This record gives sequence, C-alpha cells and structure tokens, in this order.
Amino acid sequence: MEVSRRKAISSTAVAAVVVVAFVALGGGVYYLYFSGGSNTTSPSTSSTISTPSTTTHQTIVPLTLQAGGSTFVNPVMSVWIVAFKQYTNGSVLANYQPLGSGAGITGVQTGTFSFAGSDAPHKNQTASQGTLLNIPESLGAVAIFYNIQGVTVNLNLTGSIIAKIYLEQITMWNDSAILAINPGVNKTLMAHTIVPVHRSDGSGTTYALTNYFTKVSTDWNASGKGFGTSVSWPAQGELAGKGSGGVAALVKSPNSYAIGYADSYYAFSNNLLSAAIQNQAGSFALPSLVGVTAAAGQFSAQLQTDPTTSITNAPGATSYPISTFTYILVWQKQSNQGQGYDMAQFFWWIVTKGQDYGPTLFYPKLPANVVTIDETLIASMTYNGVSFING
Amino acid sequence: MGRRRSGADSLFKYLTLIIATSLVALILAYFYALLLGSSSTLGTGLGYILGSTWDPVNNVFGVLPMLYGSLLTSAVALVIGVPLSIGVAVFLSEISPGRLRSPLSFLVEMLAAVPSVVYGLWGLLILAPLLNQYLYPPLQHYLGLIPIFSCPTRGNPCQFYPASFLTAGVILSIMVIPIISAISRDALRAVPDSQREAAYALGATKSEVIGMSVISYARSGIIASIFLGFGRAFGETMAVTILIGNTPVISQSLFSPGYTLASLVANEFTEATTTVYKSALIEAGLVLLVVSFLTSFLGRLLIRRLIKSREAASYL
Repeated sequence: MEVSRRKAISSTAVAAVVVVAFVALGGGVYYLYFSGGSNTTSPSTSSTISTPSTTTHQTIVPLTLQAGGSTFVNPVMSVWIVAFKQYTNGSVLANYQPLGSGAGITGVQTGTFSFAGSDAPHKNQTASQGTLLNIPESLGAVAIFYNIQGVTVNLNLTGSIIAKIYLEQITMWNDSAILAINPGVNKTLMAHTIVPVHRSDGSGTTYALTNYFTKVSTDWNASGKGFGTSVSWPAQGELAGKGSGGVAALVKSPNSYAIGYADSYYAFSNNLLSAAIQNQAGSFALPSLVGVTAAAGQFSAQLQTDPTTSITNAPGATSYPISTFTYILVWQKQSNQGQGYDMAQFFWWIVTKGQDYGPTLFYPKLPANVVTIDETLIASMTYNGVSFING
Repeated sequence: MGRRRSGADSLFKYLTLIIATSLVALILAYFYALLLGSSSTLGTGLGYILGSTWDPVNNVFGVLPMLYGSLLTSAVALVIGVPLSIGVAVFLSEISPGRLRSPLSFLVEMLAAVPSVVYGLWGLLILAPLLNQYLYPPLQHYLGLIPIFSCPTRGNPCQFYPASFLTAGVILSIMVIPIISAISRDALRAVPDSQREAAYALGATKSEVIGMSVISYARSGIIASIFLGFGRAFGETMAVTILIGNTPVISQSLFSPGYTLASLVANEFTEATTTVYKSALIEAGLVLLVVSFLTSFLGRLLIRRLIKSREAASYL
C-alpha cells in the first residue's frame, strides 16, 4: 500500500512537471513571436560569407534570398531567378513564394522576406531600416477573362460594366449594356448568369483593378468600397480564388460562365479569352505589350516625381486601361552586406538584362525613363551608409 | 509479496509516462497559445461566432458562415463517406477472399497518402466538371424541391458553380474513407468468432450475421472512427479552399459556394498586419479546436454509453 501510494505520487509529480513545462514553453513561444514588434531588424536567414568592408570592390556572395509576394509577376520572376542564377554561376538563388502582394508586404515588414514583389505600392513606410523602397521593376496588364460556352470572340467591355458585374448590379451575360457594345455576339449563348471571381487573398491585382474602378465607375464609388489589396466584395453569387492561378482555374472550369481578373499571362496559359476594355479615348483595347507600354508612357512626367503613380485609365488611343507596375519592396538600409549587395545586383540585372525576358511572357520592357528612376532607387540601397552600386 | 521492479522497468515506465503527458500538455499548450493570440477579439464573445459579417477593414469579425461551411462540408463528407467506408471495411474483413485482402487494403490506405493539394487540384480540374455535367443536373431536376438540392442561381436550366459545398464534400468523403475504413476494419476483425458462430448456429444468413453480430459488436470502434473522420474533414484546408469558392454566405443549397474556418485562415493569415485582424484569425483557429474537441468528447460519451448498454445486455 505504501509503495503504490508513493508510486502514484511520483507519477503525478512527473506528469505535473511536464504539463507545466509545456504550458510555459507555449506561453514563452507565443510571447516571443506574437507580441514582438512588426518591424524586426533581422532579414531572413541563409549562410553568408559577408565581408564587412566599405571598399568599392564588393563581390557576389553565394546565398539564397527569401522573397515572395505578387502572383501577378510570378511568371516572369521565376524566369529572372533562374537566369540570374546562371548569370552569377550558381551563386545567388532567390526563393520567391507567390503568396499574393498582401503576404509579400507583410513578409518584408516582418523580415521573413528579404524583398517582396507587390503590384500595390506601399509608400511612406519607415523603420530602423530606413524607408521601404518601391522599385517599379515590371509592367503588366490586368486581363479580364471569361469563359462562356460557345463564345469564341473577344467581348467588348467598359470599366463601368465590369464594376457593375462585380457589384452584382449586372448579373446576366445578356444584359442590355453588354449586348449594346457587342452587337455581333450570339444572344442565346449569352443567356446565362455571370459568376464573378475575385481574389480570396491580399492581392496587388485587386489593388490595380479596384483603383481603376474608382476612376471610371460612379457605382463603385457610390458603394464606398474604395481600392486596396482586399476590398469587401459582395458575397452572394461570387467566387474567390486563391492566387491568380486560383482565379484562372475557377474561370477555366467548363461551363463556368465566370469572369475573372489576373495578369494577362494567366489568361494566355489557360486559353481563356480576354475582354477588350474601353479606354479613356473611347477605343476598345485588348491587353497587349503595345497597350501597356502606351499606358505607362502617358505617365512619364508623374513617374519622375513619384514612381508609384498609378497608370490605370491612361489617356491615349492605344492605351490598355488596366495596366500596372509591379514594385520590388526592399528596405533601403540593409543590415547584411552580402545579402544587400546580391539583391542590389539582382535588381540592377532585372532592369537591364532581365528586360529581354519579359515580352515573350506578355510583360513589356520598362520605358527608358523608368529604368533610370529604378537605377537611382537601387543605388540608394546602402550598408553602413555606403551604396552597393556607387559605394 | 509484491514483485520488485527492476531499474529498467522503472525507467521505461517513467519514459512512457513523460511521453504520454507531453502529448496532453501539448494540447493544453495549443489552447493556451490560441487563447493568448486571440485575446484582442475574445471580448466580443458570442458575437464572433454568431456574426455573419467578416469585414477586416472596419474590424467587424463574424464567422457564422465559415462555421456553417465547415460543419456542412464535414457532414456531407460523412454522409457519403461512412457508408462507403463501412462497406469497404465489411468487405475486407468478412467477405473478400484472402488473396485480395492485402492488396485491396493497401490501396485503400494509399488514399490517405495523396497530398490534399493534389485532391483539390484533381477535384477542380477533373471531378468538379464531371459532377457539374452528369450528377448535379439530374439531382437538381428531380430533387430540386428539397431545399438542399435547390438551384443556386436563377434561370432555367440551372447553372452550377465550379465550386460548391457538395463538390468539396465529395472530395472530403474520399479523404476520410481511408481513416474510417482502416479503423473500422480493425474493429470488425476484433469481433471474436464466437459471435459469428453463435449467429450462424441460430440460422442467420451471412448478411444477417454481419449486421446482427459483427457490426453491432464493433459499434464502438466504428463510431470512434467516424469521429476521427469528422475531425479530419472539419480541419481540412487546402483541398477545401480550392473547391469551396471562398464566399462567406450561408445558403441552404448544397450547390452553392461557401467558406470554411480553415480556408479563412489559409487565405487571410499572410496579410493580417494588425493585431486585431491576427487575433480574429487566431480565434477562428480556436473555434476549430473547440468544436473538434466537443465532437470528440461527445463521441466518447456516446461510445461509453454504447459499451455500457452492450455489457448490460450481454449474457455471454
């Protein structure tokens, strides 16, 4: 009896100690990760052989960069990463996770990502690492694609109509407003409910599209939804996909009669038709290299003063109205010399040699003045006050 | 009188005790971390669970549509999956010839090895179009008066969405089959032959033997497996996110798209920058954990009552 009671007490004691230890561990872990500030100073990890020097002869350090963000830019970013790895003879590999612009912005703020891709600019963000630079490194068109059984032509649409579709104010493909600007289309094929598909995650593409809506749609402005990486879409009757690929997959589903938005590459790779959108000059423009370049060109002067100027709803007869830059978000003051130097070299390579890879994937080359602006921004990245490019 | 324990025995006993209590402590630690993480929004109390609006921009957080979606898809998964799983289990344990038993059970268990993203993609690209084309139209046409089979869109003939509760439920049912069937099969095999022989001796046919002695004897094991399957379906994230449509609406039609708690967290956690937003999402995780716990707890109560009633009735 005495022995078994002792055994019971000792077992309970051990159990109690383990439980307390775990709970304390859980609380400690929570405290460390969740109540810390959001601007931690250490960027992400990798084994670097950083040589703390302030001489001009810095060299590429072999390492892996952690990055992520926009799915809009992912098709060309993947190509850039592979090409840059070859350019540096296998030294620098970037691991880019297409989680959406919202995730990219959060990631670079918390230090999970060394840099982020985001179609939504994130200005006026300062911390101990200086300002968060927004470097416009690629251009693209937000294509409005659809899947209507039997319709094999590019429909004409206006920004106002698209906004009404997403507000659930136009619900049928054979609505008079749509048929009025598409006289040649077969009306019986259009007698179906429209299923609008938007993004379920934080998206720079949503930012560009809703920004365009605020410029052209009185209904959208009246609804008070504004623009941003996430807006409160009407719930009933709409679907949401995760990532640009998710939206394309839902629209592509047979007999979906759905409409969605993503970078034009996704429409092309999924064999989905894109709509021709009426621009400010009144002509209907399809997403194209020419259309996006023309749109960016219309804002040369504004981009000089503010590289994050929105280029939606551009004037000009050939402009594609829903064009957008994708920005590289990176902290100006880098705390790891090797990583900072490699990133500066990568961004420099993107705006110079990397531009050749864009057009085959439907990303036009950057206009010359934007390249100059980018070079200035990249040169402003510093370590201990010394620029990686000019230091 | 008492046996003297060797040192190795004591060590073994304490080692396993530590491991066992660690697991319990881990669950408690999860609870604690979730409670801490959601402290900013716990104040709204029941408003969080009963609210229908999810608006992070204006800090209004209500997860009722997501809770509804999680429960509904899990229920659909069980309604479709349980009969199939028990059928597989009965076949493998009672009816199949010996040579088929191993390869078949191996294949069924392989269903559990398929990653959930693959299930989601296969469902979206292959199964959903097939269901939309061949199963849903007749289902809606003949049973459309029942609310759960009503058409989700206006218009005639009915137009179906590429993603819906029913599509997600069908994929989930495939995902729970390996769990329920494996455990049920073990439960059925554990039924002593004396039970079967007694039923045969009374003149029962094979199906009567299975229904009367085997399944009812293994009831508790089968019900335990069903609750495990429910837990799997309730928390499943990737496959459901791809197939549910991610729209926070409560709809009585199974053909309508919806949202689940797990999909909500998967979609929005990466961009939750404010403390309140993060707290609201962590509270969704807390709701998931609490509901899973409650159902497991209720399951155990049910099993205990079944065991008691069997012991009361048993006279063997």
